[in-house]
Amino acid sequence: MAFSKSISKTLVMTPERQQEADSDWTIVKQVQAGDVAAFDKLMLKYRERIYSVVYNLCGNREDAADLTQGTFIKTFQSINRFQGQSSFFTWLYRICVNATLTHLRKNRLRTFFSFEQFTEEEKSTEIIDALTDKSGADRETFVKELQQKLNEALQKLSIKHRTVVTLFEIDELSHDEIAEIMDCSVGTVRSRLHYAKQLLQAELQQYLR
Amino acid sequence: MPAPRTQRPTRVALEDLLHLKRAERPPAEFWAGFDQELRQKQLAALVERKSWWRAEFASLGRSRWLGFPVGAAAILAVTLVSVQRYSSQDRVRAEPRSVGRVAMSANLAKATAVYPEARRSAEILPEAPQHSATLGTETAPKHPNVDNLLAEDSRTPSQQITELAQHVAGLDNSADSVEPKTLDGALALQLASPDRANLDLVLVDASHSIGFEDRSISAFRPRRIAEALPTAVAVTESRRSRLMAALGSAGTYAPELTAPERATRSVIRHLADDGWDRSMSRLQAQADQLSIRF
Repeated sequence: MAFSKSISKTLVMTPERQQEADSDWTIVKQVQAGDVAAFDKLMLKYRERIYSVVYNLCGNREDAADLTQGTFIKTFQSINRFQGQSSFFTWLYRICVNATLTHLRKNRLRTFFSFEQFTEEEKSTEIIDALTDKSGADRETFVKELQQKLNEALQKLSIKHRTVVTLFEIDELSHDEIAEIMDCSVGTVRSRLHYAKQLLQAELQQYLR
Repeated sequence: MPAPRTQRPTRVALEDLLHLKRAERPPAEFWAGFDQELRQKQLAALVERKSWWRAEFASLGRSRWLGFPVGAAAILAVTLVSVQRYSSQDRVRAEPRSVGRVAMSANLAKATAVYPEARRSAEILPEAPQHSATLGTETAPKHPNVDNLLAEDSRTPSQQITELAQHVAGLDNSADSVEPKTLDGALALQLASPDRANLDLVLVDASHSIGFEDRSISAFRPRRIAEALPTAVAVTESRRSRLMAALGSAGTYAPELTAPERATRSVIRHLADDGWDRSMSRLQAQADQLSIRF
């Protein structure tokens, strides 16, 4: 059985996205009007996604937590400058990606990895089952090893290629959204994605069947 | 006991492997601590007071039309200050590009040594005839034969210097060796015998002439020192000689002071020139000692 991506990628904003953007804009206007508590709604809505992006770019939990907090603080400080020309989540992602890229460039030589807990869900369980027959402790060991290999393969990519792969494959953003966040063309996003997948395929050959 | 798996996927794609990364999530407890930390940081960011220059700098960065002239004005100001500072330093050092003049007192007997470096510098002197040497006295009485030597203008400075040194060497009765042939360079004279320690000597600091720069020519200008010369003009003490020479050129010559006192003053003055205010406050001059507090 072949697995396919559960969410189809779209090049235009879907109605769900549009609705989401509208509700975000309403909350943003409340914050701009002085309702500071309204910002918590935005934070609760996006904190896990932002954390996931940063974690997959950095490869460790500590930096991910700090950068996620920094992203929200910076967003809060400059929310008055947001005029709704783009969707709020694109703006938030852009702040997040820029902060993370700056951090990664500054600390290029100081890298360490710490993994989050692997939460088994229906789909992830299926994938693990496809990869191994092991159960119990052996299965956990296999999962840890796989986590490490995935992380190493991602870290071998350049920062820009890693960002594209993370946003597209893990966070499921569209090419257009990634292009807007990374301030480049859609063609560039596609090209980077293609190249990054080739590299990952070579690195993870032993797990691909 | 887990149920037996009936269906097993046959193919795993790269996208499926990357999908596993989504399953890496922090536990629920993590978010409680995260929220608390974020709240604290948010409050700190609200309370934090930005310095005024940061705000100004940020506003300049936003308005490009204002940033360019301000930046250009800043660069111009820095350039002007730098030029002013360096030109003032050069004014202290620069002297008329005439000649190195050597004056000796009447009881000056001989030059006993030559800076080795002076030989090299002599090679450039004939190539720069505009710096013709005029040997004479400024304040002290001259030896009669010195005038004869100095009157011959047709000779090159190196020849004049050589002959003068030979003449001076001939006057000496002591056994000190003279190497007149080696004196074809920028002149450096040294008194060696202790009984001449208090003679009034004008020293030529030949160490300045090593670099073959125009500025080195000005170093031939005689400078008076009141120090016992045997200890002042040794080759190893050329640095000290330069310090003394700089003291003389700055126009602050004070014959009533001893050499260490003048050196101390000179050091303090130069420190002040460089704007080392803090160093100034730590410096203390007492008699012939210079102390620095740490």
